Amino acid sequence: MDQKDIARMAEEKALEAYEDLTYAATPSNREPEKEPEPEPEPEEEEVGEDED
Amino acid sequence: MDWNRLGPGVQKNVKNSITELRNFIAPNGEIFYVDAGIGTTRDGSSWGNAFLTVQEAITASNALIDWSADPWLVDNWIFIAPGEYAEALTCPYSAHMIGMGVLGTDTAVEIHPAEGACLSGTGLGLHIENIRFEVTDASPAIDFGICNNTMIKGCEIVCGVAGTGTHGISTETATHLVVVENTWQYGGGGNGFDYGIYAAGGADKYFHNCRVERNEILGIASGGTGIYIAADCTASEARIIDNVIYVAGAGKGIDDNNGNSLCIGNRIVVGSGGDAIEHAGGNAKLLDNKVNVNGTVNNEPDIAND
Repeated sequence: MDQKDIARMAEEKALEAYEDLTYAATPSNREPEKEPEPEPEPEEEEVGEDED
Repeated sequence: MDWNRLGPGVQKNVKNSITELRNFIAPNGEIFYVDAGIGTTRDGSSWGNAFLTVQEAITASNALIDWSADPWLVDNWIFIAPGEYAEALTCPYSAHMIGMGVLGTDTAVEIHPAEGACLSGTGLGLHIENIRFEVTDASPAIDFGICNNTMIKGCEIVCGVAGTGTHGISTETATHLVVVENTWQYGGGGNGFDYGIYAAGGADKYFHNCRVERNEILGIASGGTGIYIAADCTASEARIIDNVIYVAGAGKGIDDNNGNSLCIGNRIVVGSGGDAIEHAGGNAKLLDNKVNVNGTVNNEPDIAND
C-alpha cells in the first residue's frame, strides 16, 4: 500500500466519526418527541400469558 | 560497559528493566527513533539505529496499521532527538510523536521545512508534544483537513515568514481535537499569523468537542485573529478556556461565528479598534474573560450589579 493509499484509508476512517455528528446535528433527529414510538399491543401479550 | 563490575545478574536486570519500560510505554505498538545527527539512516529501532528523518519513522509507523482490523489502532511512539528537520511532514496515525530536548533553546526538535506546511494531512489518533513547528511560507504551520482525536501539547507554533503567515493550526473539520499549553510566536521579520487557530468549516463541518486550553497565542499579525471558528463550522461542546491571546491593532482575540463554543477564563489583549471576543452566541456561553482593548480593561461578559 503506497502513501497515497494509506492517506486515503485514514481519511475514510476519519470521516466515519462524522456520521453520528451529522445525524445528531439534523434538527428532526434531535426531536424524537415528534415521532412517538408506536403503542404496544397488549392484546397479543395477554393472549400469550393465557397460553402459558 | 563492563556490567560484571556491577555484580552478577546486573546486565540481565537492566535489560529486563528496559524491556519492561518499553512495554510500559508502548504495550501495543512499536517505538521508532529519529536523530538528524546520526549521519546515516538505519531501521529506527533504537537511538543507535535511528532514522535520519522524521518522515521515515512516520512511514514505518503507518505501515504497521492493518486498516481492516477492528480496532485498527497501533499506538506507536516516535521519539525525535533534538535538531532541525527541514521536512514537510505528513501525519502518522494512531501515534505519539514526541520531541526530546528543551524548547526555547537550540537543543529542541524543530520541524522547519523550506516550503509548505510543517505537518499536513488527516489527524487521526495523533499525539504531538514538545516540538517547534516553524513555517517559512504562506502555508499553515499545521494543516489538517480532517482532524479527530488529536492532541497538540507543549509545542511552539512559529511564523517564520518574511511577510504575513496564514494559519498557525488549520482544520477543515475536527472532533475531539485538544490544543493545550502551546505557544504561538513570531519568527523572522517580526510578522505573525493571520489566524492562530482557524476552524474553516463548510457544509457538514465541525469543531465538535474540541478543547483549546492554556495556550499563549502571541505571534499574530496586527489586525489578525487568535482563534477563528467559521459560521458553518458546528462547534458543539467546544471549549476555549484559560488562554492568553495578544493581537496588536484592530484584531480579534476569539471570533466564534458559529456561537457554540464555551469561552471561560481567557485573558485577551487587543489594540485600538480591536474586539477581544466576538461570539455569535452573545454572552450566553462566556464567563470570566478579562479583556484589554487598547488599554481599557473589562470583563466579558460584564459582571452585573446586584
